[in-house]
Amino acid sequence: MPEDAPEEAELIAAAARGNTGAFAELVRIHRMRVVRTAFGVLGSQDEAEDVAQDVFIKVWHALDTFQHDTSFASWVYRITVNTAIDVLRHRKEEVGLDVEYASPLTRPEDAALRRDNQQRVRTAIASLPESARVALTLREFEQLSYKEISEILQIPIGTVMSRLNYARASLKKILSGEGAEE
Amino acid sequence: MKTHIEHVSENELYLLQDDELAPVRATAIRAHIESCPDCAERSAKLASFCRHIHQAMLEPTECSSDGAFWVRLAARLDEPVQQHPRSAKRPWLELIPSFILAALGGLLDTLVTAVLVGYSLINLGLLPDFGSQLVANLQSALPGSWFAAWLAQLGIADSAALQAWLDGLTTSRISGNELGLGLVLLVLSVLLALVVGLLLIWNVQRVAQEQDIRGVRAHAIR
Repeated sequence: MPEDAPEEAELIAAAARGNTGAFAELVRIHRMRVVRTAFGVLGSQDEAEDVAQDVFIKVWHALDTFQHDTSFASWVYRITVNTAIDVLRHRKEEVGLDVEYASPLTRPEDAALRRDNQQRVRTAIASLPESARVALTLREFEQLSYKEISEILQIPIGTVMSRLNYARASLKKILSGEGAEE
Repeated sequence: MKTHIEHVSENELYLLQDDELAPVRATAIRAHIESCPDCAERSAKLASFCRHIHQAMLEPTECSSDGAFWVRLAARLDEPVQQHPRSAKRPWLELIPSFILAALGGLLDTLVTAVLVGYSLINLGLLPDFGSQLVANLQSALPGSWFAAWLAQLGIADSAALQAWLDGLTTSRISGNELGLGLVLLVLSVLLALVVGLLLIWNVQRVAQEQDIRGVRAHAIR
């Protein structure tokens, strides 16, 4: 994970002193990656937005404890993953995958096909264990390197690899109709 | 670094796809894929699969605008952070630091190993029978105790009788000097201790991970 830019370090310091303008700028910079990550883990857009709100509330309250020797983005990712996992664990009932995706296709039948396909993949991803789902989200959604994922999740790179391998192998089985791995 | 490649494993194909291979190895694998139709086909299928997954994870379109998001957030900045209820599954985990669990696990594994290996070595005659001596000492040090009474019920009145009884137990398990059986027992003991140790390490790692998840939350909401 790259070091925080000097401007961002200043924003963090100002926000930690209570400057809401600086914090608003930090939120603007990091919001979409928080929403994307939460969405990848939860599969629900509404929940992803709610998680993003909770994440930034936590970040706001914890800014003065942020260790500047670590990347701010990694820290925010970690809080996002943990908050999303909490939501996942405390879901009272399974929510539907209320997802609308961006699509470059214009023909309605193509768009419908694409949506079906995306829904199938998303349902398959939703059936993965949370640890595999989180690793897959950070890799496929956020395109993070194994090293970055290992820093965010605080696990060895070998564990990142094994979780990704498990996630991909399971997805292959599910999508090819063989059923999920137990 | 191995340069000649028979066939590329799926794991390495994923690493190549994810740009996680060392440059030398990546170059060697790419060269192999170019010359091997089988690996080229597998690589193409895998790339297609990854693209398929990635495309399905495109961004949702209906995110609120930056402004709307901030307005909602700004109204909540002074709110106290809500704690999620503790995990109903294993709430006690949060009360025990992971290093204490690791220490307890290590202690337990050491004890298991010591008992099993010690027992095997005693049976092999490689160690004096400390256990028998200890029991004998206890028996003589605690005259009139429940322990001595229990031994008396077994017909063991003194240390010598106790030693003879314990010798009898030992030799009834391993008659004579069956070195092979003793060695097998020793190896099985070490293997069992290793398995127990690995299970403990695995479990402690999981516990630490769960605590870490909660630790980040606690850290973030201070």
